[in-house]
Amino acid sequence: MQRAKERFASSTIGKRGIGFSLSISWLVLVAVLALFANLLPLPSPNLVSLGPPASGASLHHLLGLDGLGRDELSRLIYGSRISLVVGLASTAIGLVVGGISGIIAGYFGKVVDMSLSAVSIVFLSFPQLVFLLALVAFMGQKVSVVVIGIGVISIGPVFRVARNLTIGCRSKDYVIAAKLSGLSNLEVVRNAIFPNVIPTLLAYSLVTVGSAILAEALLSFIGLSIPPPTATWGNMVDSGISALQSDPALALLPSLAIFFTVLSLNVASNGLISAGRLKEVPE
Amino acid sequence: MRRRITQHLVMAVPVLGVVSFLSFYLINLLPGDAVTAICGGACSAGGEAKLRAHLGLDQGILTRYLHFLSGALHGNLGYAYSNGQPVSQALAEHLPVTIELMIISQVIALAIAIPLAMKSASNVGGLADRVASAVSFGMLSIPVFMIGVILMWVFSVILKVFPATGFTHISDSPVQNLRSMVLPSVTLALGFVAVYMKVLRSELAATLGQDFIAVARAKGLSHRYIMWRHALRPSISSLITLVGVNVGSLIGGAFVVEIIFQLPGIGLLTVDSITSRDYLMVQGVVLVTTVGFVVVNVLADIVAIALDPRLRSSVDAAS
Repeated sequence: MQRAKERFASSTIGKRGIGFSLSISWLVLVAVLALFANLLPLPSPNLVSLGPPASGASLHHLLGLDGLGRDELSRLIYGSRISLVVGLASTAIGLVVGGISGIIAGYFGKVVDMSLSAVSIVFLSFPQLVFLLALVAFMGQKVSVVVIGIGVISIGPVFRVARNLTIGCRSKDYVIAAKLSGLSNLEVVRNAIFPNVIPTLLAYSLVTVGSAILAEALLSFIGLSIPPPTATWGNMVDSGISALQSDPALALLPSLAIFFTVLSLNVASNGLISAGRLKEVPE
Repeated sequence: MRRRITQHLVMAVPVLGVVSFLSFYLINLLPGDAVTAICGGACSAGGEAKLRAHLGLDQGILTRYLHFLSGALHGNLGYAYSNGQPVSQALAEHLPVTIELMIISQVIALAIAIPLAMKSASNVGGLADRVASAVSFGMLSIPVFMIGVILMWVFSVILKVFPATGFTHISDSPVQNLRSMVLPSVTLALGFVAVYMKVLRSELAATLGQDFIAVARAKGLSHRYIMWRHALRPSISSLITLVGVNVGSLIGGAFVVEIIFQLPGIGLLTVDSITSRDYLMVQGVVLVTTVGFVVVNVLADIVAIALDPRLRSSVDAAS
């Protein structure tokens, strides 16, 4: 009995739990639907159907119509594209800028670390949402502006994690050995630091993708992200609120889509780190 | 202790200078300025230049910042283009609403988080601990507006206990004022409970493993007494710092809740002034949010120092 329990605990699913598998399944589902939305037998997300708007589910419209008579399911699936693109692209910015500067700060320490950390403190002590709002309002409500704005916000946290991870392995024997064997700094970082920092950093970046999706949804919700009629999960919630009395599903479905996606990203990140023999994410 | 507090206050001055200048500079970088907003494309090039000179916008950024700063120190932040209202007056009208929202939401969040963290920490790995950490993990993934929408749906649409939107000034009717604050405050609070609980739980769990707790237990003190009188105080400093960061970012960052529930706070003013490109108003709002952020964080550090003597001795201990 004890043996069986132990064996289950060390298997892939047991180690990561049923929540991990569910999360990965949900993320794959969302990604596949977003990628192949054009091929699905769906009405166009902006097509206004004849018939009463805000009506419930039917065979043609599995999740019914929204307040303007557009297919809710189609808008949910097309809306996921914005969330995924913004989430992934802005995290890429955060990873490249924050990750590289974090590893540099952690590896060299001293003055380099102090000055880079000072910059990151200034970054973190700004009311970032207010600046995100101003940026999007003044530079235009385009995907590129939203991605850059949210990407810049994600640099600070990624920097801190990369820096602390690097500091954690900087004085390990294998790094010292690599240095003593005469490798250049670049080679030491590539051969000894990267393999120890990158996997955890990538697993952590799933959390960043989640926060970026939340930030985009927030902007969309107040009408400062990609403008309508393009469907985004955030603006679907916003337009659903006015119909909260008659058809609460219009606001709740996109909210739940955001929630399950962000939750899945957090659970997946947690599962990868705790079961993949990766280092804990330092605070 | 007094030295550490002075140190924090002195440190805040350059930070305030840098942050306020940077925000002034960043807003200046945005395309367009007050003149384009006033003219709306209807002025001749000569007229625009004249207006720019009249408003002092043709001078260098540093001169204009110093001018803005000296005006700000005298309480003059300029006038809104949209309705000619003094910016400082608009800020003074909106700030109390946001501060009330902040205080009530933090009180609710702490009132839920502290007992929950104690329950979890006193039996790490127990049922209560696992349920609480699973729920708080989920809470971290919920967008704020979803909490707001659900609360609004349940409590104003179905149960009709609280008003969905609308704000009553505290001077008009304190009771109505509180009623209109309940849903927005709870919405904000629920988002914070998860984080607060997580932080306090791990600190408490570490404290509970120390010798002086074992001594207190050996003396026969009750569990509750030990938790509140012995374990809480040495464990709470990171929570206070975190509350400081959150309260600071709420000054301008509570706009989602203010929009959903139509509360006339700083957040709503921020969004309105940004969307209507009211530059001086944006400038004023950003000044208040950044300065508020720094000041609240310094205050939180001071409270943490006052509560935890270990933070008083060395400079490194706080960081």
